[in-house]
Amino acid sequence: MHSLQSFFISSPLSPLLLPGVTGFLLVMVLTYKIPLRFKSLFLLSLSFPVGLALSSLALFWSYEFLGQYAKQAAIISMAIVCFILGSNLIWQSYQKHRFYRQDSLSIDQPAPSLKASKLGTVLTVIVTIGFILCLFNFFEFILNRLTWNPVGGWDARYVWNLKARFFVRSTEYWRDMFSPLISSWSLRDYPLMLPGSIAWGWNWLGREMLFWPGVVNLAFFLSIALLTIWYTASRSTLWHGLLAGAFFITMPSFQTWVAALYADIPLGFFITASAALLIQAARSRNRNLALLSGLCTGFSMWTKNEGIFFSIWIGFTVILLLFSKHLDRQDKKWFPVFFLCGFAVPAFTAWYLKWNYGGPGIYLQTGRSFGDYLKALTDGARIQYIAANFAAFKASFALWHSLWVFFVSALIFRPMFLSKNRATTYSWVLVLLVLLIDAGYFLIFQITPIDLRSHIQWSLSRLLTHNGVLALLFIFETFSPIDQHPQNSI
Amino acid sequence: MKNIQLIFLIIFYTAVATIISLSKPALDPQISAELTWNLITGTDAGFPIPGSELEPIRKLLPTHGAISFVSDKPFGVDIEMEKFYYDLQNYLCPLILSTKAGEKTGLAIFSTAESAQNRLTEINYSWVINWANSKGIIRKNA
Repeated sequence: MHSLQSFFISSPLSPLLLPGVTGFLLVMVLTYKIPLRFKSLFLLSLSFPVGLALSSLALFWSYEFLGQYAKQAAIISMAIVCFILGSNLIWQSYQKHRFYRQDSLSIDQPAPSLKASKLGTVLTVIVTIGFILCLFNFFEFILNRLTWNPVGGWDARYVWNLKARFFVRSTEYWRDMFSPLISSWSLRDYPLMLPGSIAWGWNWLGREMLFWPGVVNLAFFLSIALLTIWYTASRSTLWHGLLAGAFFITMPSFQTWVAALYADIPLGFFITASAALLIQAARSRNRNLALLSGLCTGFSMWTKNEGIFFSIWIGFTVILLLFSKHLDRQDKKWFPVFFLCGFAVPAFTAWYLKWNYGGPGIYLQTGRSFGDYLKALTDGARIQYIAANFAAFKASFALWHSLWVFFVSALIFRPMFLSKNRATTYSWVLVLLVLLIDAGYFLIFQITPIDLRSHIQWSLSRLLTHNGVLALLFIFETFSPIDQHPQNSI
Repeated sequence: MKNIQLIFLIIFYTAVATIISLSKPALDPQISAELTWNLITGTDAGFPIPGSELEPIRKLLPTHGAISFVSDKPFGVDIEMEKFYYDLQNYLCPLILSTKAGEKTGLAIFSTAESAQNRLTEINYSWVINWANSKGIIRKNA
């Protein structure tokens, strides 16, 4: 009994409990009637990131308006949200059973997949064992690295964790994190998803436990792995999904940045989830998935400033979807509305933070004229230098294990693997977003007021993690055969 | 066409499986299992907290507001001192450490007593508490 109580209050994993359950219930409530393949993987991949992001929102608004009661208010508000979602789920479940109780087969029930071949079963067993070994290797690496440096890299120490400390140490003076006296390096316009999630855990534990920021980053990293497995497996087979997941887990670039405890892995999750959910929403023509996609897009904006760029790119993609011949008039009418509904709350919070506390950013309001920007944008030598660096970073096997080579191959050979199947429609969304995100960062480097060489050196490899998983999904979507599951056919 | 597809897929999956099976991240052999255990169980034993070497001075400083951080050279010249400043800001927050001299109270970290005297004269501050002859709390002269 004592050990159980100790787990719920003081274990490093205990602060995950309420966000995890709340995230799970929110996703479950929104997708209760949607017959997705490998739904448990889908739910598990979204639960913790969505829950942690929600807890950071609850924490921020509690601190903003409830002063000394903020810490308790954040936990109570999450518990209330959890209770409301749980009640809604019970109600939906009751309604469903009442409605279908005379039917032996619910229409929500996914139809059974075709019987797996013997080769498929053998491959699933082999790849599952391989995946578990990769996971073991990864945990050995990450625990070794976090023991060596539990406070992470520069931004983790002096930006994200510092902001979390302001939250934890004072409900009265937490706004001093935006003080102009330290703003030149603490970057007061940075959004607060990661500091809020870290502060949530530290408040829950009652102390600044060293391992907690690592647990937060690990939760996002493993959620990306699950999302990759779900996305690939849901249109192909489980072993294809596990192989894609193993490829992600073993990629050095992602391993490096999860150990650095930066906000790039969480941002990478929300970018990937937004795109995957949007594609699934269009394929299954479901508005609630569009809402979840919008929510994840909003969370990307609440995680890092790069999320603002991504919101523009995915907004553009939503507009392009309106021209799709596979969506009917009602879908085209409601998709953007649902997407915006999901997007609104986290995006408003990010805007509120910038408006009230942000101050001038490093790119805008720097006193440079339109001519200065135009000169930077058309500087041939600069463009060549940035392009060469993009190529060099992407070609690095030590960082990417040939991910970008596979991506280009998938683009080139895509026509060979095309099939007339609903499961391949909208793959262009992945490609478009990969290219737009790259183009956005290219543009940023062109106008950066910081020394270009230093800026590329310290940020390019982690910026590429933002769209790296989208590229991975596209590769496996191209090179995996489509399972003839009823949900995958037209 | 089917055969070309098949050959392509065999190449792709062989490459992916080979890359995955050969990848093994490098580990630091000096990390002890006991330290890792302390980290993941949340006891944090054996992990020094950056900036905690100034714990004796912390108790004498205000808990919030702003003070100046002063060292041998102006801020930004000495990268090691700059890093120490960031650690101290983490350790002392929500107290703000301004990198510019000018606040009424200051936290001074000098390498020698001589350096301390020169710099304090330059910025017009004097010792309130001089700990270890070169570190302590300073006040702006009227």
